[in-house]
Amino acid sequence: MGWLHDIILRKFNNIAGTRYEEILKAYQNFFLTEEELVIPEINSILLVFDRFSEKVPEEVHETLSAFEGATLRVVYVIDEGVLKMIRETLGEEAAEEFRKKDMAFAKTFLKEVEEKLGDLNIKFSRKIAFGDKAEYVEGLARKYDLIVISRHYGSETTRTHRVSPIVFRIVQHVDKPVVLY
Amino acid sequence: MRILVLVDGSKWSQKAALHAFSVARKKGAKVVLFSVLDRKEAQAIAVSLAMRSGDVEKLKKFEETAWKEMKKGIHDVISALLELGQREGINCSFRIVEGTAREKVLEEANSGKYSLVVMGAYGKSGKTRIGSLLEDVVGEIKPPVMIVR
Repeated sequence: MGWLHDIILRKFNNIAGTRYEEILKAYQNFFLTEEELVIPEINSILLVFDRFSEKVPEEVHETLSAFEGATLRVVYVIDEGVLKMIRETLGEEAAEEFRKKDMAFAKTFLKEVEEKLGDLNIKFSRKIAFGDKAEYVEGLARKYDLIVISRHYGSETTRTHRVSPIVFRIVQHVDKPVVLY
Repeated sequence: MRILVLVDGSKWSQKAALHAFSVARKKGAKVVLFSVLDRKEAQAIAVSLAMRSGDVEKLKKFEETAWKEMKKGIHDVISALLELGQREGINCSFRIVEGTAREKVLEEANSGKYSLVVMGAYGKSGKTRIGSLLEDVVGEIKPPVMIVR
């Protein structure tokens, strides 16, 4: 086996000798450190939805069932910016109507999600939140070990763009593993 | 349950394998470590070496050396991951194919054999921006994709 194999088997320290720290610092984007070569434990999961999100497929339920004992937070995000825009252009009444409709949609959507999760025997809590769809998730994600999100979260997707730009932004900014479905 | 892990040898693809092991350990799932070797990459290295040495006659030789090193490199990474997986009692196998990454990855991921595809957020060029392969395939992979960083 070659040097790469030795590095992966954590013998990097032996190879690099006194230059270990220096090399690791300069090439940290390429070498797995001792601390990183550990099978991770997932103890908390964030499941995010909005009105564009697709229903959670069976494969994701199967994956989630691997984390029995983890806490699962289900959040449905309503775009505060859209509400604000409606309020400013069409008035308070129209904004309130939009809010009520979205809340009703969210409750129905979450009810279905909860029924499925109930079958999996995973403990979960839920919330309907108002905020910027990307920033809200990015802020919340810090508290969780795994994020699960629809490829369509945040905007309609097209045949040429099958992942919403908001999802790409979240993947780019969040420092946690993200499951896209 | 079968999990496909895309391994390009980078740090992030190795982390992806660790996350796949995490799911597999609890589900008793089978993990397949999948890698694509592209001959064009070896040719690019060969051209660069030939330009630097000023010896175009050795192009083919440089290409063969680069190709051999690429194969060896990916085998090293995969064998180390297999060793770790087996130590953890995970049912783990590997598949290395030759061709274009995008084409081969989509072919394998969408073969209907997998419930989850796991890949790193970045490629071999490091943590600069989201990997180009990821951008290229994530919308077209049918099973859920776990992106690891």
